[in-house]
Amino acid sequence: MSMRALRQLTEHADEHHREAMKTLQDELAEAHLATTDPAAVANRRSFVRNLTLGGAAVAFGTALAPVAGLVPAAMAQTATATTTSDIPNADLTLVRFAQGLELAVQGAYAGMIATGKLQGAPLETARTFARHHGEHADALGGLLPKPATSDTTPTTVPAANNRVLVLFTPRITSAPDANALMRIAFDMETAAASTYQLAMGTLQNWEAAGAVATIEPIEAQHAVVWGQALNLPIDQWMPAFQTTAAALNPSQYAAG
Amino acid sequence: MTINSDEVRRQLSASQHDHAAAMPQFREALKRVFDRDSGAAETAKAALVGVPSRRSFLTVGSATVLGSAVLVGCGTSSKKTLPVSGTSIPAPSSTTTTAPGSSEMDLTLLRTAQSIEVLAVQTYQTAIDSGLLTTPSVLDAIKLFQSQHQDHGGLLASATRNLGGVPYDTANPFLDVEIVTPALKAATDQAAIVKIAVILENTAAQTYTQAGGVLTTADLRAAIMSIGATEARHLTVLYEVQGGNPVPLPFMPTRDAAPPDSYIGPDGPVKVPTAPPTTEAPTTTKP
Repeated sequence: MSMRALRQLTEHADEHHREAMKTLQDELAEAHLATTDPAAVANRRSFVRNLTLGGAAVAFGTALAPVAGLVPAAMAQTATATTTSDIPNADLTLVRFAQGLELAVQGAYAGMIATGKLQGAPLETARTFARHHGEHADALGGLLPKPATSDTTPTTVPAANNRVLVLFTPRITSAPDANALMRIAFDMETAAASTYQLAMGTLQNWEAAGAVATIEPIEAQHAVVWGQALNLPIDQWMPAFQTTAAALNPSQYAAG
Repeated sequence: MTINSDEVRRQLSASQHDHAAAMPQFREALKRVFDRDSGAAETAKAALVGVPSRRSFLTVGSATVLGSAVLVGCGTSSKKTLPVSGTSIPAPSSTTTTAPGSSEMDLTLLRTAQSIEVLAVQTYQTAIDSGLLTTPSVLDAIKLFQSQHQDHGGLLASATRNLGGVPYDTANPFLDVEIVTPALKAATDQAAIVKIAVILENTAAQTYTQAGGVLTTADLRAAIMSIGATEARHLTVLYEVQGGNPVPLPFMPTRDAAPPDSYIGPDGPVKVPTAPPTTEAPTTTKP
């Protein structure tokens, strides 16, 4: 398949996505905003609007080549985010890392689904959680700076963090059954929740921290679902406190 | 990299199908949870406890208590003057690019959070003692959650002391009087107890998420979210007990976070409840 044909397919999918999301962005904005300050509303609506502009094209590691020839049903994200300039560069680096992590997890789910070994509820769960991660990536993209209008440099498409992908893709390709795949999913979600906990203790900007605070609990919830499905010991999926023990440290897993 | 075109088409088609199938349910879920005008969520709450259907900002003097930019879950444009108690909470800035928190608000949020944890411990004890939790696994879950809330309260007390404040180790009076006590009185079976637990855990989880964007230091935000993530885990288990979607939303909302009326300021509760807070044992199942 040529890249042109692939792009046409994803554009078609995104058109459907946008059509369905037309009123949903207002609903989400209402749900998340609930404020009367016009400037805040405008700023936050931009944040939320980016959730509806489709996710990013995912670049898969070569280790996933046999199963992944997959791209999530969305076109490449355009850098239309508006954001306060108050977010320091160190925080922006961390936000980009988190976005890459989300896309990597989304891509890993796509790989798991493509094996055909997940059926029924685990399959639907994988699809749902993959969508969640796509939305997380979109939301994080909304925090990133918008290119200056005079900037003619082609927009960089956010990509899955390949170093994170290669942590999981060999396990996915060699997974013998659904249980093995669910274990991978549990490990991914546990790592994601831990990583966001690390981010909460690192981010300096309140907006970035606030966004992460809406995402971290969801990764934790994802881990519970897989942990229960696998009948893992409860202390593995119901800790008293979220720790950073399983975090993917950005310094070690920075996207290449 | 080789791209299998048939596989791509199949996955995209499946994704579109799933997405289209999910959207009506997602919209419905949003309406149920977030739509003020639908009344669905408020009706459910009203039927249970008679919680006020609108949150309101507190006004201390001429300043809004919490920055409107950050109170994504806290309500409407109507502002209400603080009526009683003499407790005042300094108002932080409310512009979009100015951090919304303050050191005074840090203490308020920590003390409020601790009061919610104490309320949860107390409520779960009442639930356990009621004999209404008849499924062993549900009883075990509630006991586990209770012990974890105990731990959470300890961390919050420690954080409060570190800031030079005094821990608030009493159950949140506003939430107790307005939500928990009436609900426990009306509870006649396990399902009702689980509903109360969902409300408590949801309030806690959303309060912590909200605080994650308000607290002024990364250390405090990490501390609060180390707890908030676990409250969200509790919620998932409870949703599953109810037979519902264990992860209904892609983001933790804040609309149902603890209202400002429930805050515990430096001098105590912002709003003094109209009845003494008691968490009484529910009536047993009627014959």
